Amino acid sequence: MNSFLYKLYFIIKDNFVNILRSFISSFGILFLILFFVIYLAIKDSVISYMGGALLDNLASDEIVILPKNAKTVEYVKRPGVPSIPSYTVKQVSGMSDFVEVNPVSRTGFNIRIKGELLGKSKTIFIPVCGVDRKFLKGRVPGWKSFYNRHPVPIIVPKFTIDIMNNYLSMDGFPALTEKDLIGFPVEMKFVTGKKNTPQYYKEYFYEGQVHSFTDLMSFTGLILPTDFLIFSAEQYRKDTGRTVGMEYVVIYAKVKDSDNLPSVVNKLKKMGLRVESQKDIVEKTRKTMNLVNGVFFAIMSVFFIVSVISIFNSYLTIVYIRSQKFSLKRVLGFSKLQILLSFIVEAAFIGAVYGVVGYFGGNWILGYAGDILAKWIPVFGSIKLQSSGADVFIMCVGISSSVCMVSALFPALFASNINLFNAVRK
Amino acid sequence: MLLTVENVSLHFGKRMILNNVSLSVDDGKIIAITGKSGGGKTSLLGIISGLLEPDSGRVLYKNKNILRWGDFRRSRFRNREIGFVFQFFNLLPDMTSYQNIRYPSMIKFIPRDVDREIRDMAASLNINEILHQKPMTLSGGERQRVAIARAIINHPRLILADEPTGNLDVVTAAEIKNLFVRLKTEERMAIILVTHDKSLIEIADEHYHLEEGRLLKVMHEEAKPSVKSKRTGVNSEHQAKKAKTTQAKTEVKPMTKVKQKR
Ligand SMILES: Nc1ncnc2c1ncn2[C@@H]1O[C@H](COP(=O)(O)OP(=O)(O)OP(=O)(O)O)[C@@H](O)[C@H]1O
Ligand SMILES: [Mg+2]
Repeated sequence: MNSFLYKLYFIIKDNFVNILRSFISSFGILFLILFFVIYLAIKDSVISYMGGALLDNLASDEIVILPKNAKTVEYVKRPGVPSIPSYTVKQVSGMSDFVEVNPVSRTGFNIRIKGELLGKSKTIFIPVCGVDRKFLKGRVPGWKSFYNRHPVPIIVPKFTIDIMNNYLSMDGFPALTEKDLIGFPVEMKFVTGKKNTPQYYKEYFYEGQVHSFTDLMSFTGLILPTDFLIFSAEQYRKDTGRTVGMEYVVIYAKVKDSDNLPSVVNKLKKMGLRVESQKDIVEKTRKTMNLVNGVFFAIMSVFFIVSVISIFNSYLTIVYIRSQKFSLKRVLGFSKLQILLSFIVEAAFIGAVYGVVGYFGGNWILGYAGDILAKWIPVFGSIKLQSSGADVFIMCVGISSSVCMVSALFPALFASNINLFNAVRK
Repeated sequence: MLLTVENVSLHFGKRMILNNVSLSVDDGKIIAITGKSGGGKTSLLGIISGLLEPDSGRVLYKNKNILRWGDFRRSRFRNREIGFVFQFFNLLPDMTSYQNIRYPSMIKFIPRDVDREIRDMAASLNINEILHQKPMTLSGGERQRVAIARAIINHPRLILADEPTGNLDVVTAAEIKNLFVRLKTEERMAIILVTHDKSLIEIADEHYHLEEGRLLKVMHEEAKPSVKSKRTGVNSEHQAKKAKTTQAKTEVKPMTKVKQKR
């Protein structure tokens, strides 16, 4: 037993410096793994973002109805942006093909909100859309209380919690949870018209209150009850005799029978609407993913080639430098297989270590990048850049050690096939 | 017979290095091989140890042809059955003498504890002072003794020693000689010595001379200087074969003449 321990000690001592050297020269693999982790996270995020972009996940019986020339859903009213007229919405709602029709509205008001937190108040411009509470049934807790009342219930995108907590943590305050923030008062200012035509310029103040948080529709503004938007538009019409431009931008609908989908889609198209079904979403996702994949694979293959070459080269150098040593070991009784294995095991070990480091490093970067992106671009707050767990971990370790092993294979074969007789003549 | 070399031939390019060489050695026997530089002595040891493939012939170890063995059996054979003292020592440069000596014993998955043995051996080879030095820092003679210790650590059945006293002074050479005698009598090892050291040849049971690819047995007239000029150091069987197979006029010189050449 003692001698076995001595052997272990000896093997470690004998290989320590070389393993260190191999470690340094196998460094490239780390980038491959880092990149791989990030790629997987982004891929997952993009897929779930694309899939969940409209409804959480569009089922086969769900469709999205858009104005004819709309590319995406535009929640902020701007000149020239198409909308669905209310009579069309009524028409669609009246069709017997659907079990559920959920129009989403927008308003012509510019809306600012003022929130007060810890003595600081902040006023920001924010896009707003309106939905009916029946749309929220089964999707948002407490959906029944989401209608035009005082104070006005407001649904806030989830990522705002993160943004808020970022601000809070800068000032050294503890993070708030969803629960803490429900019921939070928000002052809303609705503005429309130009100041140089005072008879049409109006400002209205409404008391709001956070109703809940959601990722539904992945909309980056506030969701208000449509009946409230109608109410505010009505008030403006009473005051000025003008309309404010209350419109519908998208309808989410569920067909009774998904087999009927093609004919329903046809009907809607004839009505001058654009329809996206799951198939379209999948197609869109696929296209985006192809692009993402293409870019990432290009970059990863560069990393792959670079790391394979550098590992290959370093092992080959080691073999050349120490060919005498390997052949002597062979002469003294090591078989080819043992020499081969000593390389492969070393490479696998180094690869595994880089796999582990790459996995955690990648996740660390993702966490970091996610925070930064969320600060700059709110949408990224709702794209979760988090790599998954055990499966990705195993993949990282597996890929990393296989790449190292494969790169070490040829040098290892070379080392195990050195001409022994010539070697001992030196 | 422990080892039998049968009709082994070897070329390097167009040069015939070994021509139909036969040799055998049994447990507890010492064989000395002499021959001029470049004659193929080291090559012959290489073939016996399975490091070098001959063009033809057989090498039987305990009646098994080692040339038929795969890498794994050969490696084991080299590790356990033979001990090789190389002409140029071939110590592992980044290991101490102690580690070099211990190394062959560590190839087994669970190695034998040879620490005591190494220290005893080092004492008798007079290298106990340098056990923790690396080969670079050793003198030629010290390296040679470390190499010898390494060759016998696994108690092989057969020792192949290529000029094992080449770098030693008379006193140390005599100690090595005694060691070989002890290994022969106490452990009944078979030993093949490539040497030009007369005192080493003295302990050999048989003496062969390698010249122009042929291995010929040298007969010694015991302690009679007058035999010097007589041409009796020739194995008649080999002589006959030679006459049949080659035209080369190889003269087997008596021992003394070989010595003079050196
Ligand atoms: N790989 C090789 N390729 C070509 N020639 C070789 C090779 N190996 C050995 N030789 C030649 O074979 C011949 C025999 O070499 P070997 O080392 O066996 O001689 P030796 O009898 O041991 O000589 P010395 O007494 O000088 O050690 C030499 O002339 C050498 O040049
Ligand atoms: Mg030689």
